[in-house]
Amino acid sequence: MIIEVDRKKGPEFQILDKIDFLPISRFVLPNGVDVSLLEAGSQDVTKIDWLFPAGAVQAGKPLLASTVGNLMLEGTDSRTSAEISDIIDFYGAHLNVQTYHHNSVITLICLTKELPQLLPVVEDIVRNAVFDAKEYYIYLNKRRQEYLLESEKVRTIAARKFGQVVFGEAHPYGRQLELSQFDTLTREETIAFYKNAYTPLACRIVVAGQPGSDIKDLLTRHFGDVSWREGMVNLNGVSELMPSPDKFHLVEKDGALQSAIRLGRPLFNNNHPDFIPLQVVNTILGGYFGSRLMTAVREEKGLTYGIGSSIVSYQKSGMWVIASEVMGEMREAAVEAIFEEVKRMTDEPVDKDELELVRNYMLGELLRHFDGPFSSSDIYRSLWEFGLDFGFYAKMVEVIKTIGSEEIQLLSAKYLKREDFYVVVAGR
Amino acid sequence: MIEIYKHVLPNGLRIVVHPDITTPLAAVNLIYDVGARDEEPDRTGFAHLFEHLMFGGSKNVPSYDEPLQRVGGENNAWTSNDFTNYYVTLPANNIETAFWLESDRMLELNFTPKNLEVQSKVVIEEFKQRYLNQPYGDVPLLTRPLAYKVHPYLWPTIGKDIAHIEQATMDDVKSFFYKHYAPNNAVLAVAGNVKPEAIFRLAERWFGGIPRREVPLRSLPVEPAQTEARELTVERRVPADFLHINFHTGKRCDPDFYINDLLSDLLSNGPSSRLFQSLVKENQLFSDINAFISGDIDPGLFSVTGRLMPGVSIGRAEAAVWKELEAISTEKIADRELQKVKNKVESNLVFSEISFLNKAMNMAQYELMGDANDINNEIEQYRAISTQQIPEAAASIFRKENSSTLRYLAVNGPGEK
Repeated sequence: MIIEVDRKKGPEFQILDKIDFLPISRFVLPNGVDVSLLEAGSQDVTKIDWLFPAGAVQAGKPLLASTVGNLMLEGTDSRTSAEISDIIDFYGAHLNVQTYHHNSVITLICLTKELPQLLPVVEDIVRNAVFDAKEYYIYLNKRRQEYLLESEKVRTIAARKFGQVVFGEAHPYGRQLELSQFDTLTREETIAFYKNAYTPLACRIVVAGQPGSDIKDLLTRHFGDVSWREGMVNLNGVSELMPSPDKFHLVEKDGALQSAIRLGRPLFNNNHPDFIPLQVVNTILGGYFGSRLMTAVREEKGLTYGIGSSIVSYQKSGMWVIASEVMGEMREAAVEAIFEEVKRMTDEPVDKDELELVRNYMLGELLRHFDGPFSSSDIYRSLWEFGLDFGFYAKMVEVIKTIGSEEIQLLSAKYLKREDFYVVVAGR
Repeated sequence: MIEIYKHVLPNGLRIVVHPDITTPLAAVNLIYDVGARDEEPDRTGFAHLFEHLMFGGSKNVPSYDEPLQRVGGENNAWTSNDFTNYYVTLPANNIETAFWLESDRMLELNFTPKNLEVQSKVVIEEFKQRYLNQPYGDVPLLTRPLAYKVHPYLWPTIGKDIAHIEQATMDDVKSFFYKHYAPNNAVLAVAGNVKPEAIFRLAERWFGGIPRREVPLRSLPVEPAQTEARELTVERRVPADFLHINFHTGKRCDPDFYINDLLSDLLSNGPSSRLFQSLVKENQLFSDINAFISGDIDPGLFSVTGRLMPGVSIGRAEAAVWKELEAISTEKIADRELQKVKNKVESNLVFSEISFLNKAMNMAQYELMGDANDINNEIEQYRAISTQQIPEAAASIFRKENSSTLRYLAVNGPGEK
């Protein structure tokens, strides 16, 4: 067989120079609601996100914010739950509400031509939801079943415990939903929270795709009403972090074949100057398939199906967390193998070859993240929460291209000290 | 509408290309016509284990992932009962690296005992993580052998048993490779910021020298028609009872696939669907319910599954499901209801065409099944379906003697009593 190509060496390649971010246009509705528009894409589809300050922080307790977010879709003073579902499905759209710590996001994805039929429904949901008693009862019972199911998974048990340990059981970032809270939540609370949180106060709209030239008129008609009064919610405050004094926590689960582990530490968010360079440190350690953790714990030792590390930003804090599910009987060996890799980040400089690979991989990954208007708008939306814009990622591109191994080692020495780490295990 | 260009190499490799200049990226998707159905009954889970081994380096390249990451690429793979599929996304100007890596592992794998040993362990952990250490994780291990008696769909892709994975030998690995991994047993699909002619030239350069291989003709046992209802009841430590009913249906390429697909949408796609409205919302018998078709190449399954609300007996829940299935089998469907699920198919098709990777994956699969251009005719197949065809299809599928019912009961469950 004759092969004319050089199979040992492989083809030449180019390194990504920069990322072309989509332009954003902004306008304000008559009542002050801020709209951002990312117009791009080859299909006539539109995604609209409505952000309201209606997250778990404003709710002040678990379950309330997400219950309000989901129950809004279950009936208004002029449409039943079944009618709302029917309209959304008939026009082939997707409508859902997600709640986070500091806000809730209503997302509509649809064919652009259906916007005039669908926006009145979203308006109705946001302004006239009734929280019908029967719907309230059905939703909470269903949600309780989901909660019980999730509570059986070692991964979930470990993640919940880790939040409590790192931020404190009473802190909004750490407190966890408990079964008893299904019995104490009241329908009156949901109505009160809805009325205060779903108003023009701090509401923002992000539109992406090809929404057509009359999008401004449509949004003004349905969400620009000047008589729509502002509500009252806590927009800023979260209490001080209260991390656990103990560094090791084991939640035993009978009969578990695998143990879920979470190792990590509290950290700052993406406004901190070290945040961007730490993304490179994190990627080397556990942020991609070829990472050191994946190589050591999966590919060399075969102790797990997967392991990864990530840095999570919250508006007032953050965390660095390594997560995996490992062979039950080898849990201690896995934890030690992880710490060995953590330590190696500090002990040895990253060699040139590995650093070059990580640089190029990260640049490619950024290009993938910014592909298309929908994913760009998701990134834009989360940056906004921190007062940032796409310039944050332009800076990240520069840091990825220029960071040296000395800086990586220094940052590792500063932030990857074993004594700063919490270890949570669910299983055995 | 997806614009598709095709080319076939002398060694039998089929290439399909879709240019999409709205992205700076490209996807390279290589699908092999081998899946869990091609395994021996005492060597199950092998196609999937093999997928893992494909990342352990090839004849001339010691690592698959490393050079790909070095050019900004990312990759993954999946195995089904019918296919094994490998895909890469990367900046379009570095696309040749994907051709180098994919062609080298089609040429010859680097068969090392170490790779086999470690990947067997990794797959065993995957088996535990997905099937044994999750509530309801073992459901596929129970329902498949109930529905199938002789056809290899009777085991899931992970395999029947961890022991089969532990017993895999290097000889098994080598023979599997040369039997199934061949240019004449694969389709290469590329979508993204590329020119079809350039892709065809790259394919010739990198794949052209790989010899055609002797791929054994597939001759699988045919599942005999089921003649009586099958049932299985198990008890597990889970939070709620679970019901899973399977019905035999036709093949993916049968014309009634599209009718069955709409039938499953009418029953459970979206919050306005029949099963959700009736069984979750109105009667509150289930906390969650689904109806879906497997879409397998050989005759597949129509499944109805649901988790029960506490205090509801499995008998009552089952009777309520059957009542809905009987209603859709005997009553006329309103035009608007059928239009609703057709609209949903249309809009989902448009949404799916946003992603160049989706397009590459779909083209590869359709070309392997017959013709990539069929993607563009699908919508017509759905539009042509009439309201009369739905009850006809439902009546032929939802028969007791065509059903296999798993009752998965919660005992000593943690949580509430």
